[in-house]
Amino acid sequence: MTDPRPTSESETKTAGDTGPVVRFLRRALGGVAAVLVFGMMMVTVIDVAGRYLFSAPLPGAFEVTEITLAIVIFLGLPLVCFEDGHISVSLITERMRGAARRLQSAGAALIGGVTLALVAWRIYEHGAQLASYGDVTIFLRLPKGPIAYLLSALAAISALYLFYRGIRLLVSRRPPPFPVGGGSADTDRSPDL
Amino acid sequence: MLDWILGVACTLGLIALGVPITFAMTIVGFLGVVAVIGLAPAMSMLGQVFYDNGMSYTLSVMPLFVLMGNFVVRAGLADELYAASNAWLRHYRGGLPMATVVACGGFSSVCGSSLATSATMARVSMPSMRRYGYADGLAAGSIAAGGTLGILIPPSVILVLYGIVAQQDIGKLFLAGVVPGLVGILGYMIAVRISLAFTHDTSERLDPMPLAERLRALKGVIGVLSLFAVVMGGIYLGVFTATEAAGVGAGGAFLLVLARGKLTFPILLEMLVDTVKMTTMMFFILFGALMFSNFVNLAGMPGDLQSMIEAVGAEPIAVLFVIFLIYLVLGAVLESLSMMLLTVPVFYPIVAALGVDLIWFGIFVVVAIEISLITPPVGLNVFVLKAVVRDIGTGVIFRGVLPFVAMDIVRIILLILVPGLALWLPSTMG
Amino acid sequence: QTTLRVANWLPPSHPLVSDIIKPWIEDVNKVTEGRVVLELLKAPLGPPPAHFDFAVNGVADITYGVHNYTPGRFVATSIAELPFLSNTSEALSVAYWNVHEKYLAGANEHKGTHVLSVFTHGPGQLWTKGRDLTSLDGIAGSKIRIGGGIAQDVATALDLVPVQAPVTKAYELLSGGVADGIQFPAESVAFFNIQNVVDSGLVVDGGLYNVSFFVVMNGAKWDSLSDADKEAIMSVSGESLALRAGKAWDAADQRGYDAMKEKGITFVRPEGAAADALKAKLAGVEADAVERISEKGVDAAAALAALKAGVAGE
Ligand code: NA
Ligand code: NA
Repeated sequence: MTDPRPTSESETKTAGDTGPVVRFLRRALGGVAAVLVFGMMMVTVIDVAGRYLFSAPLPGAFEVTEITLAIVIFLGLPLVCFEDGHISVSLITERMRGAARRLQSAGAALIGGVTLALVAWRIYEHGAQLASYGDVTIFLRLPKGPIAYLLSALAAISALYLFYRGIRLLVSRRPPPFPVGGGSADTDRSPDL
Repeated sequence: MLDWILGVACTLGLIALGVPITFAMTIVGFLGVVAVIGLAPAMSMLGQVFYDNGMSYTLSVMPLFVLMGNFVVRAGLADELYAASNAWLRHYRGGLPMATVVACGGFSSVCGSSLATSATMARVSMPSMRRYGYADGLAAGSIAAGGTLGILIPPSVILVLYGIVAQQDIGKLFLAGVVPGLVGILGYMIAVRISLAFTHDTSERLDPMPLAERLRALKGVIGVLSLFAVVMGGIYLGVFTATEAAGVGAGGAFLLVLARGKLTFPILLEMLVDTVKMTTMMFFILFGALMFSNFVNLAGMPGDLQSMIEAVGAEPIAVLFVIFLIYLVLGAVLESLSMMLLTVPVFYPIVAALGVDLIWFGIFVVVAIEISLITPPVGLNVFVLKAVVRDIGTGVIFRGVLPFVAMDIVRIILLILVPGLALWLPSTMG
Repeated sequence: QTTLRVANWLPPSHPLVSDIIKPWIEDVNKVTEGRVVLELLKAPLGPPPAHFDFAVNGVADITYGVHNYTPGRFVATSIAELPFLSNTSEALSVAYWNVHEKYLAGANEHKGTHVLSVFTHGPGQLWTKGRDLTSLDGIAGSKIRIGGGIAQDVATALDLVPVQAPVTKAYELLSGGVADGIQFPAESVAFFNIQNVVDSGLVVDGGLYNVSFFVVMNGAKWDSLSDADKEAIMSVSGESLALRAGKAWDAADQRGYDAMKEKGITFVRPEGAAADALKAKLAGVEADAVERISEKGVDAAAALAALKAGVAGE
């Protein structure tokens, strides 16, 4: 690493799961999310430009931005889970070795799995409740339920992956296809702040 | 009262055991809400927190500012900033580290991230500081500390999140960060001189640059200046909202990268995916923090803490001092974003009840958090620097930042004594 | 003793909190002789639109909120948001509560909760900067920050260009020229300091639109109370709370008008032909609303007639 640029932090972070299913999901979800983020930027620029140059703001830009944001961060959720990229403090755990470290990593993954499974289920139920009322967004009147179902599915994928990871760490003697426990609470585990 | 104390303890325990912070806060917050209001309402709250806050227009500034930062780093603006500040400062004693600090400040004005600022500036300024004989500690200290300005001088990702949690206007928070940021640059320049006074100065003195060249170097900062002018000028004059400013800023930075021929499709894709991942990490910590703060709110913590403060009859200054100490201690081991999101939901109702201005408090919190970025054992800016400049000891850097930390403490005292430092600029808006 | 949590999403200084919810809480504590204690939460549990569901799901026991923050769900309540209904919140709120009980409650839109009261704020008007409000042509095409519900239908009928943004951004939008104007009741003009960034107001007899509020309690929680407590609580809720709210909004509106007069804002009050033209332009809004509400199984025409009669004091 002779030219470590902060934008390419992912280069130092390519560690992470490399199984075929995960590889496919990383490409697919990452690609869609990338397009959506770029789209968010363009929608804002067009909205502002339209308002000042032609006195015609992009109708619904506000709501499109809101919905895109939610989808983007939930698309990112499996990506971050695959890389064990959620921020954690490893001051104590980085001193653990061998079985203790595996157990700690498995525990952390399973707690994450349980949390996200709960979240996925509850977002689904929340969406069902909104759908039963016929709730729609204020201006474009898009139905709110289906958006929730999509977010729920993405959280569920992440939860499943974390369960797989945790169980794999518990039962398998072969080294797992992902790093155990990550590094210290430093650059490779922090968002760019 | 036992409820929330137990909850806080469990969360810190899980975090210490290496459970990702978002999961620790979410699960403890959830179980806590179950204990206070029952299973069914807690379940419904969990779904609502993750759904509603994911769809927040105000929060859409986050990915856009992260994206803008990524573009700005790639555009190579840092080199020009350093060249310009170098041209004007290099012949002074401590010229190159001071130029580094100024360039860090300049870079912070278009990049919302401290890590990106210090990593970028490390690559740009470390080699020349070494070439001209500056001690590694001072050189690294100026970069690591200068980088902390990234979250104080607007735009700032941390200030956005503070604004969300404490329900403050993000545009005003940004404006409030400008003057303390300038004070920060000045303080760090003084820290460079202090450092030189206490160590054996081995640096070479450089000749002043001819005026013509200095002026020519200034041209290089036009890119940064125009981007800053569009984003912050736009917010200040009310031409657009913070979210729109972020979108326009990202668009502008995108054009800069494009114009400089530094963009290929794979690079763009990589930057976009990076933006998504960073944003996701931040948002999930935010969700966890919101779930957790709902729990402590329902468990009556704001009221309990308030009556405790009233019981000891504490003055606002004393409370702020205690909060600052807590930040110093937490900042030793916690990462900045998590620290902010863990603490602000707890602190802001208390200080608001004491009559402290919440815009001012946001700046206070960010300055306190900035210190955590450069203090051992967990100092993210130090780690970033170490990742870029491999052959330098972490201990050397931590010793090098000491004078800068001292100036940070001076700055926070100034901020308490003269609240106008933060509040004057937003008060002139609109 | 039963303690009930009241969710709050507004700053303590807002009239809805300081002049309506807080005094009502004290009244409830008083009339139940301390058997039922209402406790206002210090920090919000979530965004404003989530608050109806907070009551349904028991996240909080009692919540207040705005019906049109969750469009699609509340249709019948939009009857109180129609243009030209009333010059005071007091008259409209009391009439609205009675119409709700007699006509709207049957639509069961507040399912899962017990409705403690419904009311409206003072008449919503149009406030602009640099626009000629004396003719409909002068208004058409201006960029206006609007709320949801009927206000949106009114904006469409008047050919306004809607600007979407959170209400907290109102000042920013207007001061920088992002928007040319805003739909607001006078109270909100002063609360958000809009008098500093507009120069005139279109003040329509009866208002251009209105906003409907609810105060609800979790249904199961309500059922668990004793009959004596229920009766005591309703004695200070329902019509009584609507009346209190109406008076508070009207007083707040008055403060808003005072602040605007101090700033020299021009008030344009359409009369005669101008008023007729406006009425003609907005006629479709009422007709559409009546049709939508009728689909919910409510006798919308009768309800609207009763509402108008109630406002007129009949
Ligand atoms: Na910055
Ligand atoms: Na630290």
